[in-house]
Amino acid sequence: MKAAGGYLKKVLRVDLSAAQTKTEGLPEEMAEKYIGGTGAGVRYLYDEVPPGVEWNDPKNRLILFSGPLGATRISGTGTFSVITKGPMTNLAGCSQANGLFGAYLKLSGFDGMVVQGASSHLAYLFIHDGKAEIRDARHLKGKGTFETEEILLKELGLGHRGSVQCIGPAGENLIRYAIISGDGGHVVAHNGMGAVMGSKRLKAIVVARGQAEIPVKDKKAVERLTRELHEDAKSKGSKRIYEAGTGGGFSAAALGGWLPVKNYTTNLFPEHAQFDGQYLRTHFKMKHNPCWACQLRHCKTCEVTEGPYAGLVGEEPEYEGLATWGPVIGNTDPGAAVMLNRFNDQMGMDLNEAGWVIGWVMECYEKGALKKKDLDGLEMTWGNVEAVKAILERIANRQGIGDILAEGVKRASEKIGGEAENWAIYTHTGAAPRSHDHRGRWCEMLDTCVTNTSTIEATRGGVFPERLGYPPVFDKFSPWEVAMINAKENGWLQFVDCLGICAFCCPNRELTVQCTNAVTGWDLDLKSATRIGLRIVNLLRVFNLRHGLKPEMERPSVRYSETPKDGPIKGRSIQPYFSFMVRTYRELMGWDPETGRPLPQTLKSVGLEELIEKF
Amino acid sequence: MPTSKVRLEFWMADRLGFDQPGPLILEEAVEEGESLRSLLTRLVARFNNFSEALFDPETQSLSSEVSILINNHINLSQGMDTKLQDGDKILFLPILAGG
Repeated sequence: MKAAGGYLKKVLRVDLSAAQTKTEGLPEEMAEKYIGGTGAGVRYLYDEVPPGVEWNDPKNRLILFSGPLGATRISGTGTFSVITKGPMTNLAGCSQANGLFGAYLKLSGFDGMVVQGASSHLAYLFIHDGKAEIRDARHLKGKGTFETEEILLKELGLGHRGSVQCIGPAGENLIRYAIISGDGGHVVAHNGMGAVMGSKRLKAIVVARGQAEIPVKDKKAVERLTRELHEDAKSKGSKRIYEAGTGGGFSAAALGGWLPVKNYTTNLFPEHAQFDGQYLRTHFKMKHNPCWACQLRHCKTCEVTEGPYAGLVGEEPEYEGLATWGPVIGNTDPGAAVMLNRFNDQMGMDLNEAGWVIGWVMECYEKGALKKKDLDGLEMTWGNVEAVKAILERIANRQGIGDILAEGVKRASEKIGGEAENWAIYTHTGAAPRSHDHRGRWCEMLDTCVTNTSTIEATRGGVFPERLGYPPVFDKFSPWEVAMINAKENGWLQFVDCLGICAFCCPNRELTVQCTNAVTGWDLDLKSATRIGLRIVNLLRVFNLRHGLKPEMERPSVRYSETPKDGPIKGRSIQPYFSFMVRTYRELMGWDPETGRPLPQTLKSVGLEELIEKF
Repeated sequence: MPTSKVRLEFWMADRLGFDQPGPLILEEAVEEGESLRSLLTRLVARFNNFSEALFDPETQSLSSEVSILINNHINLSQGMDTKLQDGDKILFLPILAGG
């Protein structure tokens, strides 16, 4: 059904090799079948990046898309998706960031943009008033992400009317887990998309907030649903996030056995209370830093008030930043975590993978597998935060040991070899786990190993089947239940990632579908929305199979799945059941259990018959 | 009949159906050999939002959004039928997304 609202029906095409930009139409079928955001991006990726094109080939596409809810006044609709073929997996990557960019892109006249080619020199893109210019960025070479943002907003006289998405030195130097960062620390984290941008010699994308009229089918319904969706998020699904940020779950993670500590060598972190969001928000000085139209307002900057980093101002770290720069590296000072969080973002790297790399280095140092002379003289003892800062800088610039570590912990541990290979936390596809101890969260370990997006696909922090009207989980460590519930849940989150809205702002599924219908005029329900999400999952799966995904890659590394030695999950062993879970999950997804290939009837059921003979 | 005492700790109690932020600590008397299921069924009658947030007495099931640990361990071999003993510490944790 044709959309009566939510779309400008324009896509910006940027060819950096030809130094040209142009406006294309957004095909009607694209909106109807793939919605926007991740969905639209995946379709462009599939159609335009054939097998044989590697992640750093100029023919690879970097696709950025908002969605039909983007730039409305619904809470958190500045979110956008980035889709590309990424260097950690050399398969598809889909990652989201919040802030302002998605809304500003729409207000400047575009639903999304597709970047191809590579510039002959470092460049940035400036989008304004419905057009785009490719400009020289050589004066920004080597600059950190925050610095780059500040310079460009000032140079262009934009202030708060501008949104910058850029790379730091890590992206320029093609670190495999380089990020795209923008709007003061909102990060496109997964699968090294910053390195893809760096391979195109594209330092930044700047968009000036325009005046485009965003069509909405039923304005009154959207107004009412905006209130209802937010009230629900604030009082129910995202209550803790509203009150204490994502760091508000830190102590629960420590007590429940899903906090990662010292490269998974232990599960005990008695200092957890001083890292919890409740502590930070009552001890550090906080300032709001909200995203577009967001009433949840969980994003903040903070000033450290205690310890050696007192006076430092940085973004309030999300849970994963607190976990990585706290217990993963053996640090017990939350102020130091704020410092490292900011520094790492400035260098431009995914904190998840950076944490697994550095935690592994620290364990190697402790056990003598790496010595000071191997680490450019750095003493990588647990909790040595200044040494961590120094090694992050070396990684971002590929100096000394940094050059090996820039390849990610899987490749680095394979290069070092010996027993140290068994201490690294990774998946065999290359998708980096988030900063949790997934041995205490089996649904997420399975999801991370079999995902087609290069990050979590079906789950978000857990599985909540009651939200779909199913019975609850009886045993979170039952291989039967984990496999079944992950398969049953899959599809919904990929639909949400098409809309241009922050997932924290829309935990209520019914209201989210109603919002979508009110904006677009469609008549979706939960079932049809999830079917669209499954279409995207299967399209990604076929893309990845064509680009080299093998079934044996879908498993955790030795350390990632090692039986915990202490703490709440001591003795809980996932290894004996993992391949059963994967095969069962595939079967329930309608894929061959041994090869992981979608069956013809599955592709037909999600409207992808055209792909049946294609892989 | 001899009774035992168990300690219940509700981390982030307001997410678990109570009217106050956590942690909330309760000492409860339990019958010898009483199960976790039986205890939670009794608590539903006392606390208004318990059944919505934590435990549904009709289906006798715990919400997917909650984890339970007994004596700091998540390994409840008998699940909700785990028999409680004098001095047991039961921790209720909401499951949160990270991010």
